[in-house]
Amino acid sequence: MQTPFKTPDRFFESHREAIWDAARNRTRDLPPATPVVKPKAPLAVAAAVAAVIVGTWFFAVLNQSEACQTFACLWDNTQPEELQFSEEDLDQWIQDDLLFQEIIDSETLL
Amino acid sequence: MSVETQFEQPEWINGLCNDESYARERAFHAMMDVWHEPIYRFTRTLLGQHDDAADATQETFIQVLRSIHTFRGEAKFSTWLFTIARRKALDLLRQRKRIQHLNEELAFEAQLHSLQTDPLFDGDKALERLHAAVLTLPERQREVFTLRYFNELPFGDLAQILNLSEGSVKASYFHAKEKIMARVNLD
Repeated sequence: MQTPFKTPDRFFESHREAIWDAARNRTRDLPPATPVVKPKAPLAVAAAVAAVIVGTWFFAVLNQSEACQTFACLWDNTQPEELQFSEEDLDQWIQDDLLFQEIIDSETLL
Repeated sequence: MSVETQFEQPEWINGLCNDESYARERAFHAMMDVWHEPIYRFTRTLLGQHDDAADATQETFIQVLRSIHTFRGEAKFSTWLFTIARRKALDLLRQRKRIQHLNEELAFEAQLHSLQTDPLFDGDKALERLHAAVLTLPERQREVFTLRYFNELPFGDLAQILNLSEGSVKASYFHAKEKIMARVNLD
C-alpha cells in the first residue's frame, strides 16, 4: 500500500547498522542462543503427544467445576480485584451501549 | 537444520540463533530485507512521528534478536514480530503521552497540524485527514485499524497479535472505521 510517510535519505541502511550494533552490545552478556526449532525424532513426538494427553486429562479432572450459566452466579464468583479495566475499555463499552441503544430505538420505531 | 512446525517459517530464523557471529549477522540482514520497512511503516502509522517510529522499530528488532530462542514456531513469524512491534510502539506511546488530555476534536486538529508541518509527510489533504484521524483513535482501535487497513492482516492474525477474540477485533475495527469515515468526510 502506498504510504505518505517519507524517511530521510538512506535511512533504512544506517538504521539497520545502528540496530545491529545496538543488538550486539546489548546481547553480549546473554548466554549462547539455542536452536529455535529442533528436529523432532518420532520417539520424541510420541512422548510429547502422550504427555499432552495425560496432562489434559489431569487438568480436566482438577478443574471440574461447573461453568456459570447465570448472571447471579458470575456476580458471586467474581472477585472485585479481578475487575481490572482501562479508561479505553470503559470508553469502548460506552460506545457499544450507545450503538446498542440506537439499534433498539430504530427497531422500536419500526 | 530441518524445521518442522505448523507454519512454514523463513529459512533464516535458525540462523538468528547461530553461535557463529557471521551466520547470525547474515540471518539478521535477511530478516531486515523482508521486515525492516513493514515494521517501520506499522510503527510510523501508529505513532505518527519518524523519530518515534525509528526508536520503536529499533527496539522491536533488538527484542527479536534477544528472544528468538523463545520462538517455537507455533505461530507465523510475522504474527510474533507484529506482537513485539505493537508492544514497543505502545510502550513509547505511553511514555510520550503528548495530547492524551486534549478532547477528541482538539487532538485531531493537533495531529492534523503536526502532519501538515512534518517535512517527512508527503500526502494530500485526504491522506492528512486519514492519518490524523488514525492517530486520534483510542489505542486499541488504532492498532486494529492499522494492522487491518494498512498492513492488510486477516482478523484471525489480529486476534492472535492483540490477544483478543475475533469478534472483539471486528467490533473495534467497525468503531474505528466509523470514526475515521466521519473525519475524512467532514468537508
